[in-house]
Amino acid sequence: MSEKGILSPIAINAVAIMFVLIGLPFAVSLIANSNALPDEYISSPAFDTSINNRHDNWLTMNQTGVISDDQGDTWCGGYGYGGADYFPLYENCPTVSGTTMYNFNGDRYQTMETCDPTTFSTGSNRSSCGDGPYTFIINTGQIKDSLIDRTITELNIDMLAFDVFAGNSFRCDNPTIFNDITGSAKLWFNSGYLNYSFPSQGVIPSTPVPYTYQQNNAINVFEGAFTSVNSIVVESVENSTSRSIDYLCQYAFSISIPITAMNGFLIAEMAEQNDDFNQSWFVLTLDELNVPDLSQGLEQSGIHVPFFPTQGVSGNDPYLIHVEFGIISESSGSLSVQAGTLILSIGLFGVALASTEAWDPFMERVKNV
Amino acid sequence: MFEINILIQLLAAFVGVGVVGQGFKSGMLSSGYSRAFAGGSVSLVSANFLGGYAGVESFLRVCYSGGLGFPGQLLIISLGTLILAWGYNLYTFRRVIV
Repeated sequence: MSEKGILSPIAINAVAIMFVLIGLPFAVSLIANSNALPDEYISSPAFDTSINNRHDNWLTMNQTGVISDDQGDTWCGGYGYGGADYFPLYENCPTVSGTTMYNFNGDRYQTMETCDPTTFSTGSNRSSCGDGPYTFIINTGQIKDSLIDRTITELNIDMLAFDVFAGNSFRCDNPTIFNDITGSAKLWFNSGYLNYSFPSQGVIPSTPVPYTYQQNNAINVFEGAFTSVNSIVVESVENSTSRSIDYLCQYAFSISIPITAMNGFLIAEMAEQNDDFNQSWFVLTLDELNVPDLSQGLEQSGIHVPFFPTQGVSGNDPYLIHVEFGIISESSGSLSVQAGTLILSIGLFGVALASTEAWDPFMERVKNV
Repeated sequence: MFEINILIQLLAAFVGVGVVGQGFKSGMLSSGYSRAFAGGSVSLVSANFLGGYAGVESFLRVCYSGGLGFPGQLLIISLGTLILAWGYNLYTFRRVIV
């Protein structure tokens, strides 16, 4: 650019460099975090069981211990404690980095990293679990066809105490049981290789079950605080004659994880490079669970969370879970992102042009139009 | 696959050269050592900032892979044009921006 312009050459240099160092990251941040609200939700399928037939989109899971199917086969849930590390007792137990994961009907897993398994095996006590971390694996293989060419921008997980179907519920105004729970959450998206085991006929679950996860690539897509309301009004038992209306609440755990458009794109790219979503999974870690209203951590007795073991019950103690993916389609959801990218492209091209001697003739031409 | 990180490194290098050039013209960074140190530092910090902290590298990777359609591809072309222009300027005029 000549020195006849409004800005001196030094100022032009400074503006161009500032555009790259400040304008570009700022614009990228604006674009990547925009329009992340989902326009559609996809629920992970749940296996029908005789227990959850009132809400068949709730998946039955086990808190701890061993669960057997009707054929007498053990579908994981077993754990061992080798002094320094956990190890699976059963070959169908999925393992991640040497840590035993608990198999819950085939497609989702939970581990209580801070729970002492020796305590669990002799009668559980939630006080041994502490305030975290609690890790959950959410496999995307079950809904892989629905996720292709989509961008995941939200993950919702609802958990419900199993007792709702077994007949036990609580007064909704019980302040000890029903309070907001705060904590920190980390969500990772992983791609790699899953080993599936194929069940024999008549065995529950009837679909192939991942039992090992070999991670090749992972990105952190969320890290931050959350608040969960730990109560839910159980409408399904409204007609029950065995309890009063005051006893229609059950403890729940509900968490919604937002994922930026940028991370959604990266997830899609990672999945696409690795057999789409068939060999991918999310890992959610919850930590620092606390009840602010009661000024106490969850390791203290009296606080109820669905995935905690029930006092005095060892082993097989299930709860319900519902997983929902919020998605935007590439065609509609990312329009504003694309528009922002287009504007940024034009801006960058303008800086490129302004950095050359062609700028002055170009501006002359523009003025003469 | 083309390493999109190269674009970031080149951009950061040109930013470093540009900063040092302007510093030299305005009377600062008179010694060769100070120019080398300043240029290297600015380039390193810029590359790390753009690539890691600011997430520009991730965004460019998505653009390059087609995740953002035509606008994303256009952004890569614009960035390439900027780098080519600065490289040409440096080679021809010994300055990043003329």
